[in-house]
Amino acid sequence: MALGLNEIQRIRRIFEAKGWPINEGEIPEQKDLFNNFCNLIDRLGDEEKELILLISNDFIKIDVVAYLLHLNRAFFSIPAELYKDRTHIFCVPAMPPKQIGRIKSPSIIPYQFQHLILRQQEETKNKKIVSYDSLEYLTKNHAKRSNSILFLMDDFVGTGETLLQTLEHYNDNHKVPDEIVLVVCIACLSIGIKALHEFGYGLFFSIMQKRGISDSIRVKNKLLALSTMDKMERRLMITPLEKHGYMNSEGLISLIRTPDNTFPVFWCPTTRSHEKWPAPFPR
Amino acid sequence: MAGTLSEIRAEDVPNLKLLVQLLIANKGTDPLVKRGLLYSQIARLLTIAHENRLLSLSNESVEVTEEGREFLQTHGESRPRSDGGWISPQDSERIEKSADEDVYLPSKAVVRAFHEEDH
Repeated sequence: MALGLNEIQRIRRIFEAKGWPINEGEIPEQKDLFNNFCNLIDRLGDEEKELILLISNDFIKIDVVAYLLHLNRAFFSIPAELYKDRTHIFCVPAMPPKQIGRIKSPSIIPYQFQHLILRQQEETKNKKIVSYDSLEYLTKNHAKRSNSILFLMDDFVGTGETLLQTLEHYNDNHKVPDEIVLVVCIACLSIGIKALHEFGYGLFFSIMQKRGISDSIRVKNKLLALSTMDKMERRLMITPLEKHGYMNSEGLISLIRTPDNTFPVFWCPTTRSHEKWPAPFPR
Repeated sequence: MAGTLSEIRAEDVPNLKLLVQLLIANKGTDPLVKRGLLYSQIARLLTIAHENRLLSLSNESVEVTEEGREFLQTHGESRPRSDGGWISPQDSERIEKSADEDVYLPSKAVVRAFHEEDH
């Protein structure tokens, strides 16, 4: 059974409110968003439909064209006292050792941050600003740096695990006395902030998201909603770690790529019976 | 809120008719999907129908307006079939209605076709 017109209208309303494209063909990555979203709803039982439509109101989709705006907001959330007396600024993507050398989502952040934000701002434009693609190159070129600030950057911070690994790697191999290290990202989950705070690190960001069901104001019966989500997830080809999003992140977010922290019904492409699942936000 | 009136394109008329009919009959969109329309195209039809005041849209529901019912009258009504499909007049084959005293003389080809059917 195809969707009813009322259901299509409800989805259309969500898309309009979010500013997501309905008609295909404008941007390749968004080509099938509306159709896949409708096909997803079409695959669900009544309770499941209601849940997905409800929590989709909190779904955040950040297009790459908006990255600069969000980086700007993240920059202005950093207190100027932290960097105003520093003479050197270094920007490095937050990547743990096992990922170094690969082009990952953090890779595109430092360059934009350096040239389009730091070089444009009164408070920072006269400082020495350099970006590197890894901490290894930073140390190689500035082993004896001093009076510096290091921005470790990512587009998205989920559980904070990757960042903590990067910070551990920095502390063990690249730390210099008196350097200030700040973590800057476009969007993060509240669980990631908490994890970083526990280790004494602060995080500067543009958008923060709480857990999509457990912390939701919209979802009244959270236990029922989580079990409804379990019912849907049992049909998907996912690992136990990915249930409710990686490490129970309960994310409702998509950036250039959709992080695995997002509920898998939105990104998982395959069912357990190897059929195609109409994921609207594939990874 | 309905936006500015946009002209209904001739190629959209059959699908708009079906859309309004499905709405009146409170049916799902299967017949539109069976015609090969994607959900994004059905959403586009909703927009066109709304802009032309054939239906009213709220957050969660769609309702036919008087203009919508008139639109059906103007373009010929269809009936639901028992198998869930819809019978609609084929507008492209529509001809002018003859007056009571008009005499219709079919062409030779048509007459021949009638005879062939008899055999």
